[in-house]
Amino acid sequence: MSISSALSNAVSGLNASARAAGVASTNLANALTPGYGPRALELVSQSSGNRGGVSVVGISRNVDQGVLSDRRLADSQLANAGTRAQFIQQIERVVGTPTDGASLSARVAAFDSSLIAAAGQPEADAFLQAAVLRAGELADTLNSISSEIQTRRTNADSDIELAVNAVNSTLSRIRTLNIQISSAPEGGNSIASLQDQRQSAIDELAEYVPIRQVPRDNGTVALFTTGGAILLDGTAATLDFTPSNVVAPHMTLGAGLVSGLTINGVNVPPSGSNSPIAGGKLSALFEVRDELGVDANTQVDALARDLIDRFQAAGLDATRAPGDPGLFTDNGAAFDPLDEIGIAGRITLNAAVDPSRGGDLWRLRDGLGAAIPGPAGDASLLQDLQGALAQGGVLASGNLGPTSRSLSGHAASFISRLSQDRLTLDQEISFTAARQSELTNLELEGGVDTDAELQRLLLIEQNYAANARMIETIDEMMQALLRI
Amino acid sequence: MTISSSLNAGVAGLGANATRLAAISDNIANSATLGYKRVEADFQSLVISSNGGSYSAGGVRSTTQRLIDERGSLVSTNNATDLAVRGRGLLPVARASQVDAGNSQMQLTTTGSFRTDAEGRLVTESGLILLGWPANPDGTIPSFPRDTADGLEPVQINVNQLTGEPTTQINLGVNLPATETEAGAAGTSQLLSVEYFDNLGKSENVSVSFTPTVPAVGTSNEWTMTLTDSAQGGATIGEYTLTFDDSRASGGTLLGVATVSGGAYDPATGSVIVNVAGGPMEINIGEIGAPDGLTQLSDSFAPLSISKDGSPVGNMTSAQVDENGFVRASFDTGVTRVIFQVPLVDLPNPNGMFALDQQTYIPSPDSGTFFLWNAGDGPTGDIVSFALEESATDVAGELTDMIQTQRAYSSNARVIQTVDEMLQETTNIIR
Repeated sequence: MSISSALSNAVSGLNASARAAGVASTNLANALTPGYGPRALELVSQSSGNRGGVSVVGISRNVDQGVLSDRRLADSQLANAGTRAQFIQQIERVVGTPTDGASLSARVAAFDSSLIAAAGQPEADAFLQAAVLRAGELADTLNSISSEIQTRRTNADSDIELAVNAVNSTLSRIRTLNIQISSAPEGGNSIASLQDQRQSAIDELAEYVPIRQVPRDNGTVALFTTGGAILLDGTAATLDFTPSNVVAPHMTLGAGLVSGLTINGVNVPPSGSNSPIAGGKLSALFEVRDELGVDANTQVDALARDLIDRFQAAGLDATRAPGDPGLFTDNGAAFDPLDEIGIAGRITLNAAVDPSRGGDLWRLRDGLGAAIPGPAGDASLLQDLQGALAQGGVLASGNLGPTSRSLSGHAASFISRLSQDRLTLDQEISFTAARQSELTNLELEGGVDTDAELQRLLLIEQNYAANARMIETIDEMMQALLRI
Repeated sequence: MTISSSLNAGVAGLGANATRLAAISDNIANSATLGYKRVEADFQSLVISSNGGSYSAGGVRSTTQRLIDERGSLVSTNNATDLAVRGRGLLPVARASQVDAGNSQMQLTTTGSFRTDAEGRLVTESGLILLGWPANPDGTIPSFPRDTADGLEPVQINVNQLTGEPTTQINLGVNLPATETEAGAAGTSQLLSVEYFDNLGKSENVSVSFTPTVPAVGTSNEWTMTLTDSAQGGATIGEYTLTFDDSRASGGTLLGVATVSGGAYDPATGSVIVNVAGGPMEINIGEIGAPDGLTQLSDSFAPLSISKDGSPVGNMTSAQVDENGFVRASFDTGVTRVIFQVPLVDLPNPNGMFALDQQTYIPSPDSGTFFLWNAGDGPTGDIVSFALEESATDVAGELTDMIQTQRAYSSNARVIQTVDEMLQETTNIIR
């Protein structure tokens, strides 16, 4: 040990203290930054021959990978359940709850009671008009439910495009960050902030697809979905999806009329347990478009079909020629069971009873095919109509169960099924949200500890002063030597 | 002649101390020169005779030696190609002027701030070019003779040069869901697409599909693996029937691989060789009973350790030298590859080398023959990047030496003065 090496050691100590102060200041400045991993200065004692000193190996970034990956999975689950619940809630809102005057079951009940009232006073046009209006409202309600489902499916389709674009651009951003991290000099400060950015980008991605992160050489990472698709391993995968302008009831993935999902040009099942992207927002959107939406459509179509069938039954109205439409029509024509898909969107009241479309109210009382008004006091057809509505019957399609119920019974079972789905999803959401917030808290606990940083800052200050004092002393010693 | 020998000894002492002062002044002048090695003056006494009662002074002779094996302390810098050697060993360099003239001679130095010149060579401000062994395109270093500098070439980092490497090997570490081979399972295929780089650096895919055999009763633990190549329009390049073990000791590992089409399974390496459009490709699916290749456990399809060699075509963006002397280039595709290896040169007697300008040395007959070591191997230390070696001069030590030298010089001058006075006395006897 000589004076020169003592000087050089003291300078290395000063440098290390200055770097440590820089690290502490970065940590304190970012105490509230989301996705910030607290930095620590890595020091080693330097040994080269008989010289000493300290050297800065690098700046390490501390993040609990276990909590991070669990939190990302919880993020995906929450986004998945949230997207599905949102769809069910929206459908439930248009279908309405039984207490709501504009709900499906209230409309059925209103139509039923208006028919009873009209049958009680068949000569009163006001009651006939009320019955026709209620029938029209029931058809409109079915139309609006069907159109709501199609709107939601169309929105889901365009949301899928946005999600696919977001996933693609995030993947290419992560790839760029990977490259920058791998080519950045080891241990520099820049690499830690690049890692912060990459972590936030992967967090964004985790909302859409559940992610498994695997470390690779030179600080890069590979990303897989938990379902096993390779999203990023060196090069980034490209997800491809073609949006449709409108998603009509008959357009399903099974029929090939809406686009599926390809990863690097290979078709993958976009939803379901076999899907490689299952579990995030992206697969939930596909589920809304291809499963929940299609299922809701089937149920509403079954209800509409049941309504038409009840009034189109042979023998109900003697004036109506066989094959002519009943009180409710498929856009004015008779309903054909082969055209069931989308019937809820097309169901209309027969124009023959609708004065606003050139019909006459009395046809409700005297028969759809009657040429002239019959006896004003004859309520038999009205009673038959009401009977057709109230009689038990099994739904010819859909999957609301083979129970024989009146139309209002079927409507009620449709509504309770929706509510049940929503409740289940609400529970799932509250569970995932609790889990996600707990994991987020755990993650934040691993963040910057301001007290510890300030304590470290005190030590850094003392250390800096000590090294500076060392330099001063060496200077005095040299002065003493030069004075000889 | 004792009195004139005293005069000679005094003059010799003056000369020796002047030499020492020259060494000290050189050391102090170079106290801030990076990589400078101290020169030390050494004195030897000369003996003429000592017969009888008279004594003749022999005087002193001085020699100087440069202490090349003495190390200065390392200071850190912020250039990745500032290199220093920690421990024994020297970096091989050549003078730019000589390299350009085509007759380069290997010189040695311990530190240097190397930066790329117009041709991409790593060169110091003083014109020293770093030498190294070029790597093969796949990043391996071929064997070069280690007792001569013939294999060494200037380390050249060709930024903006496009390079890529075709993929020849893919390792599949995939877990298949065991539940899918049970009776009554859906029997859906699991698809996996692994990207590879063809001979022209284009990205192609080997698609691997795993189809379970669903038995009528029980579990089959059998899968059909089909490999297709996107470069051949999705043609099947290999098909294998895999059976998995369900015993207690090695449950879930490969039990047998039967080849339907494609290259045969080699149980020794755990790989099959199939032909993609560009040539043969080795697909490693793991050895029989090994837990790190294909496995069949639980109910999830998990492709977790898929790796491949080769690299996409990319531009070189930067280079670093690691502690073992490997020059690693980073490409804009995120790949890093070894492009050169810088060896460390060691000799039996480093202090015996001839010192040249700019802190460089060349081997001499005194130093012994040199040998090129991998840095960190044998007696050599390692190469430190982001660091330079300071001058080995200790100014305080030189100053104290200078004081001693000054005292010794004055004493010698005093001896000469005394001899002169004594001779004066003698001449004054005769009047």
